[in-house]
Amino acid sequence: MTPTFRGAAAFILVAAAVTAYSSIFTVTERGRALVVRFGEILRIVDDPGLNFKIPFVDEVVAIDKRLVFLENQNKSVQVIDSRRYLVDAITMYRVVDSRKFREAVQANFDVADRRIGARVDAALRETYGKRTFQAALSEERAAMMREIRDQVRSETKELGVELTDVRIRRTDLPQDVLEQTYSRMQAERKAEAEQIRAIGNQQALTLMAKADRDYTVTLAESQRDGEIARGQGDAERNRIFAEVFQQDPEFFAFYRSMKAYEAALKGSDTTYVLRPDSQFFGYFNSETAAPAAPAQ
Amino acid sequence: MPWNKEGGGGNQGPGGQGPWGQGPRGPLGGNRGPNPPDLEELIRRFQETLKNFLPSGGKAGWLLPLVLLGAFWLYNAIYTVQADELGVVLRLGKYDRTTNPGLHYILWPAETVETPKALSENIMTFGISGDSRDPNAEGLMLAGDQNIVDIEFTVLWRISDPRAYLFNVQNPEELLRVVAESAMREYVGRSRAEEVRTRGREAAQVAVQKLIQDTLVAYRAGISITGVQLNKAEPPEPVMDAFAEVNRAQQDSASQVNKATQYAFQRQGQANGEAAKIRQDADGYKGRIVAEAQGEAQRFSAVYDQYKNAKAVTRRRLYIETIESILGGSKKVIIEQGAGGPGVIPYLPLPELSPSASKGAPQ
Repeated sequence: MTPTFRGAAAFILVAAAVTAYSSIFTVTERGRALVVRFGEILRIVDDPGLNFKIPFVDEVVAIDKRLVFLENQNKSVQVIDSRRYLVDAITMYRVVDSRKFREAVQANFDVADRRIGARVDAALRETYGKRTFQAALSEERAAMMREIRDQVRSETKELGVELTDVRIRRTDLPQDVLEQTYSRMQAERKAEAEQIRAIGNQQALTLMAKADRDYTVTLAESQRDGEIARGQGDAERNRIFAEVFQQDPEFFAFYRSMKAYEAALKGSDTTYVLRPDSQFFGYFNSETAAPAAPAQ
Repeated sequence: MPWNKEGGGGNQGPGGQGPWGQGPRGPLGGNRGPNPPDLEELIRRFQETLKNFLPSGGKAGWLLPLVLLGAFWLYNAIYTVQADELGVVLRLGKYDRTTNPGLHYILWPAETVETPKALSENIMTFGISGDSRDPNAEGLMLAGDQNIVDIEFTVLWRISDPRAYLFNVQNPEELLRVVAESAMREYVGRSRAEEVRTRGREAAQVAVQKLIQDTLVAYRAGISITGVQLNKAEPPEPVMDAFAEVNRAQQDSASQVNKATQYAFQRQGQANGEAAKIRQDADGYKGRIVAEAQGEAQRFSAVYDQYKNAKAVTRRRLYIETIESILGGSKKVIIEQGAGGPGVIPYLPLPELSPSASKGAPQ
């Protein structure tokens, strides 16, 4: 074998390999392939597997057929009462018509994203523009997502794209409204705090007032019971005295008077001006004088 | 290349190329196996081998490249599925079979394999600063009553269908992220902030999990959600203090009520004590007065018993003794009141001042 022959053999081998390699292509589960010859779409391969093409002439364009999504971020939309929301929307779509997709957006997902995004944007504004602030925030959210999807879906058909879903990811307040919201929340909490304090105060005062009332009532009741007991004592005393003194009322009067004089008049600061002819001094002037005797 | 990042097909070979060659939307390069061979590279190496061995000639010169080729083939054909992975084998780009963890082979280059982590549970967190593109905004959600809640939550998920996970959705993990965030925001947007922060946490977790799962099923993403955990649901930072103020107010209020209760107990004790004292005093008075009366009565009875025996004498004695006792300790002025005696002009109403004159000795 001469070096020339070897070189030629090697060249042929390599050329054959390159030709073979460029005449086959695989389509995977992830996508489809367009076989393009001089810019014209010859055929579309939908199913995964091994396929053949004319080497160096046919070009293969792969198109992902999986679900993809794009985000519309921070779109300022206005609702009926001219208040504003900041909205993020997510659009899910997949390519269903590869030919249209190639023709409309050159099989370029970035271009497709821009076109679809612009339409979602417009649909967002329109859909929010029909709602009130509150409805857009909560109860009609699901309906709005369907509405946007249906609106954009018909428009994106021409791109060879099927719109699976549009989801509203965020519905937020613009910065200035956000601050208002914060101060409103603060004011609400402060009011709540004041209310709690007021209720606490009221409860405390009520408790104390009731305690004072109970105190007064309890004392009054005990006083009442005390008076009753004293009354009973007095009654008993009267009964005892009456029983005993009944035996001789006249003597009792005398006896009690004597005791009373003794108790009432005893004391050194009293000055008595006496006449010696009083009964007590019956024997003061004469040893036979009439004896001093109490009445009777 | 999303599925590489997620560990879905994480078998980047020495060529450094992902499954699609130039990226997710690049030209269809065919999906290669554990070591995607670059054909040009292969040919170049083969040529080098030829150059190295052909000139020497001989049969052994042809054997070595064949052995090398065989080794290279085996290296590409044998693959390992790790314990938390499943192997998805494509034959000529078409799904062929799913293999379990262990050592397997493929008919390289006709078959390729991808090994997503389908048997492990994955965690995705939301609302933690620095975790998202817009750290200040991700956790802040607008509730249905137009209040704002600061939310932090975790989604636990796993690949339930590796085939769907790999081939139905271009970027499943990122899709899960947007769907999960959207679901949580939707739920919070329907609820009252207070509810989400307090009693409604459990309900929120259940509802959001269902919302995410339903959406992902509709997209056939091959992902199943094993749990949603609401880690934090608080008032946002700027109004934190106002909420703390509510707590303080509650505590103040409680302490005030406690103090009042304490006062009430004190007052009650005081009342009971004083009442008992009043009752005891009264009982004491009663006892004393009765006892005194009894004593006095008996004394009288005793005196009277004696008096009955000698009435006149006793009477007189009592009288004299009493007067004696009265006059014994006081000043006395005795005035003789004769007709021509040395008179003192009494200018006081004397008879009223003198007990013996008014009572003891009536005239």
